[in-house]
Amino acid sequence: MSAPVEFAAFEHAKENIEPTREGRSAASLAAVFGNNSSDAEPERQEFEQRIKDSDLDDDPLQIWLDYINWTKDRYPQGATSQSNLVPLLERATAKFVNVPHYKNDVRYVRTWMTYVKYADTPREVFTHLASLGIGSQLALYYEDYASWLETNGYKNKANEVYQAGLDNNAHPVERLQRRYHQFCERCAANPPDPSESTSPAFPTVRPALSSKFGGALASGGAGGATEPATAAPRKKKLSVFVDEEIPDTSASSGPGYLGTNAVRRKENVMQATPWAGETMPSSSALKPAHPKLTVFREVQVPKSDKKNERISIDMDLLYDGGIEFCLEEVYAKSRGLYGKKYNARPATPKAKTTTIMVKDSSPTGPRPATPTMTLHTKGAMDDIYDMFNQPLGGQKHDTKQQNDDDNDDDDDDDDDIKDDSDLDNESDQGMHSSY
Amino acid sequence: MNKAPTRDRLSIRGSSKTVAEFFEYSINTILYQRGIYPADDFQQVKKYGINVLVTVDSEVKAYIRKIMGQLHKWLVGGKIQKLIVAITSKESGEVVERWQFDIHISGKDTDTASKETDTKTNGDKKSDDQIQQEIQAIMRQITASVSFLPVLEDECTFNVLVYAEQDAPVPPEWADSANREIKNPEQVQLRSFSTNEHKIDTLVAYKLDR
Repeated sequence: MSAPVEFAAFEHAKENIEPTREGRSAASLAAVFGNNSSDAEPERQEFEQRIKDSDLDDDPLQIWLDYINWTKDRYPQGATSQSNLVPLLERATAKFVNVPHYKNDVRYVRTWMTYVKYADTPREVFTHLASLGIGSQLALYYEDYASWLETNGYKNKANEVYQAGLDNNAHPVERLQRRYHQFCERCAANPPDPSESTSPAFPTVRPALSSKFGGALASGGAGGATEPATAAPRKKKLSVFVDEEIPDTSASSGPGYLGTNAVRRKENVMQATPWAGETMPSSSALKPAHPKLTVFREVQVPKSDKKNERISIDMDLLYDGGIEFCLEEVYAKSRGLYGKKYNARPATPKAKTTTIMVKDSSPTGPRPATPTMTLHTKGAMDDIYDMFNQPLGGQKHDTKQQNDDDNDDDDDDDDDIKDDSDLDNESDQGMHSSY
Repeated sequence: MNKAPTRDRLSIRGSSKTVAEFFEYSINTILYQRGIYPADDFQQVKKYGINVLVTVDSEVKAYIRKIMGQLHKWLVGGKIQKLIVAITSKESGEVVERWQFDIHISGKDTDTASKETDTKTNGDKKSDDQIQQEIQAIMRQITASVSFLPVLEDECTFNVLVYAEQDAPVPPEWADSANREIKNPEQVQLRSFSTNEHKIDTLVAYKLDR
């Protein structure tokens, strides 16, 4: 048992560690992120040398795996340009693609599965492997393919892949069955989208598409034969990418060669040229284009120019006697209306209470000089409450009285009677009490 | 003179509470980060100044609560040395990951020694903030450990093991167990934190499968 490694030794670089399925050795992480990490180049050279010599080994794959593992340990950041991981995986996978006894070697298939993670077109890699029969006896391949399909929303296809794996008795069957079972449970909980496309998960051999699946299926090769017939001298709308003839030194271009990421996107790679004298093609877009549509402009508003602003007012009128007046005030002055007092209209007409004198000989005390109504309102309120407090027989009378407010002055013995409802009485009372 | 032991007793209680709470949250964090239970079963809470995910599954919750209750008693009694969270593959029954928390009790020696440490700790008493900071750093490390730990592809479950003193009272739910070591493991030592009474070391052991 090795001594535990301090997390602190590589904690500062924790964001730079790419999580992997099989985990990482803490000891090597600490070594890489430690202060005294050695130069990687000599070790790399050594691996390259060993690979050159490995052709005579019994198990040449192992040295590649060591190389890959070393790269993974040395570059925890994953596939960076420095780590050279993806090209290495491409080389390793391409190297043994036609070695029959590695086809179902779990180490080799695992290398492919690692590569899939970094590939531009994972699905193509999976179908490619299927067409070559690599991993067809291993549960690992089916599990990975199915889980990729599942996460990308192709649940029906994932189901198909699991079925194919079980049909092929892929090893270990128990694990595959268990995974399939879990997958079915997930599907039951979250059924697949009915609109999912129904194309098969595995490639069916169609001669027209054989070029797409690499040379392994391309026996006819008649796909490009129709081209000369239509070779009319038409103006090219699209320049077609043509491969430059570079003699390939690697194991590529044989049957079963899938191509590397770099090869697959070579159309998008610009040739490196000296920058001297180069022009930016996009500069044309910056030129002011001819207006296709003349924009209407109002002629009579040259106001936008500040210099044309004019004030046609006699400013002296506005500042008459040192006081500033507004235009309306000036206008009012010219008509002699400025400062004129009008009779103020009575404010709140609603709150006004009208008193009606009743020519009655009811006993009235001396009225207060001030129009304080509190006492009278109170008296009126008491009267009204009395009415409400009458026995049941008088109820009819009460309601009637409430309904016709206009006529209630005849059965009131008070001097001042309000012609408002009792609700208004209350508000009156409130108003007066606040005086 | 009579007052000293009561205060000591209190600080042990408080410290035990802090430690038990730390175990509760760290176990929850492990369960979430290592995908032992589906992510939907967890809910974010604010603790130690960071967001911590805590299970809302009532059974798991009750299970952890029960363990913590017992743990607290053992901590107060000073009967516990280690707490281990063993993550076991359901398929193979193999322990794939082992989180080990070592518990050191600072005041558990002879009388004079305890008095000595008592006065010493009283001199530089750790503030709650300081302890929180230390625990927060461990929580962050647990979260960050996913960067090097293997992906747990099999369905896994977890067990809590405790190394207790011989004379510790053991409730019937706890059974004797093997120590569930991992053969030839990679080990990473996480940070430690200490209260005035306890010091907790955290270590994770895992199996590197190449």
